Amino acid sequence: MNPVFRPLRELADAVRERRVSPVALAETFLERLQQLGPRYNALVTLTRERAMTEARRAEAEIAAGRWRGPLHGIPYGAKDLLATGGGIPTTWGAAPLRAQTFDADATVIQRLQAAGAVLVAKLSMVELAGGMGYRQPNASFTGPGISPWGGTWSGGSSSGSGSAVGAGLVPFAIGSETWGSILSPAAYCGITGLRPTYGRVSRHGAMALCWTLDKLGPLALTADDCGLVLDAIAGPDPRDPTAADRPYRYEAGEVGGRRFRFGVVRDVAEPAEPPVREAFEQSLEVLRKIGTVEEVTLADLPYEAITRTILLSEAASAFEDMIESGTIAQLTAPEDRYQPYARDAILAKDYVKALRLRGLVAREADRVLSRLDALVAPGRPATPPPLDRDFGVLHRPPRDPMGAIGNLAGLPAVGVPNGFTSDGLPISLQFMGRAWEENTVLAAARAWQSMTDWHLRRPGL
Amino acid sequence: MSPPDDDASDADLLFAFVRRRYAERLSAEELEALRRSVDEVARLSAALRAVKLANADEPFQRFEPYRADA
Repeated sequence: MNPVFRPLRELADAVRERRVSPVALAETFLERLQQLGPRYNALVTLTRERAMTEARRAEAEIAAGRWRGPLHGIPYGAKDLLATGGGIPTTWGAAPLRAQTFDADATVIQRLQAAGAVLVAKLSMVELAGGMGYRQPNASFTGPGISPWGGTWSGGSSSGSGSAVGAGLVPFAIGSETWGSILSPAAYCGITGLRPTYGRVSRHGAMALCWTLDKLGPLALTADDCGLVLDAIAGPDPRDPTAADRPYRYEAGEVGGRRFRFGVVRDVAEPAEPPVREAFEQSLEVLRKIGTVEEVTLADLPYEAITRTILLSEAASAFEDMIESGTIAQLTAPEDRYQPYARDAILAKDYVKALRLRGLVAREADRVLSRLDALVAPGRPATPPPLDRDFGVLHRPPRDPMGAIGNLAGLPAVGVPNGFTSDGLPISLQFMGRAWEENTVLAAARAWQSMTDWHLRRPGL
Repeated sequence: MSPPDDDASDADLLFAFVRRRYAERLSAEELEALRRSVDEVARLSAALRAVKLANADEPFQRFEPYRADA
């Protein structure tokens, strides 16, 4: 069996039935990462020694009849903002931190280890998760993230997590999202990404960019894969006070015959590029076969200004030492070397105002979502940009109200493949749900993937 | 630094503060780009201030008193 580009359940069955050995799996993906990782600038550190130790342990346990579950013996990669002990560097994508190490693993890494998963790589990312305001793909000491589809930008900031899954270098990866950092690489690399509800997954041991916006979540081939990974990493953690005291179990039941209630925010596709708009309109026809689709309206609020004010303010504080000391001059993207200084111009009262407005947004989003299973929208308004593209002022391409609202209110969303441009570049669709409704949005995404085959397409490598 | 002009905009004054703190580290081109970033910050602030809130609209962020033995 060729294990590359297989969904997790297939791999898990093969491992459990001992048709495939965890050691052979680790060797296969380590080899692919080593050979193909540099092509996509996806790799920071190959964790070969650790991987082989974990794989041998998994193999011995399974041989002894102690199968831990569907991730046992399955290789994965972690965005390089997740701390790893054992002398493995954790660089946060930033040149001045290339040698940074931590004493212990992040909670997410520990949970995946407890589930028997095998860490094969630390994956590249936009420097400091994009918190300095980068405006171009080349914003990491590992170079611009490259999508396996057409050599365009991989998206960010979880660039390596996106391209490594998209190129079949790992079966799944962990990324993080503050605003767009899971859904964007999922979209541009033609894969599936899950942004969990804020507080669903412990952030202990993860680089802090923005304490009230940061979330960790999986990138994988299918919505079902994302659910299996979330099941392993979610849950309370006394070391992260924002991790909610809500146990989570992935519900992977059949979705055939289930009817969903979908909402579309009026004019949500308006800012999108034409191929994205066209694919979105076509996707609504498919969604009408599995449920209802109704137009909804949201109160007129400055969603993007609120989210941006919180992000810029908290990131300025999170990286105060690097900014004040001038260490940012060593970053890769030229604009990251000076742009953070502008945040001294944000007044405290405006940050507090943004936090007060956040309550309005959370209540407004919940008012709309309480009658629905999910809001649907383009996963990204833009198609994957070329590597030399300047994103424009403060790096946000066309307006992204769904991203602003979803991240501001901490809502879960799944991004899934939704076709291709005439140039063969991937387009995506997102399902965004009410807080704590990961199982609902995952069910909707599974239903979508049962009716489409976009997630089964593979890039020519 | 000269005293602020009465006609100076908020963005002018905010940029004067930023420039005073960091200008020595930056080239003329970087300062010009930084000015645009400060203008963007001023636009964000204006958008927030345009929305009226009630006195009871609290920050959507909970504070909890702490006890090590709780």
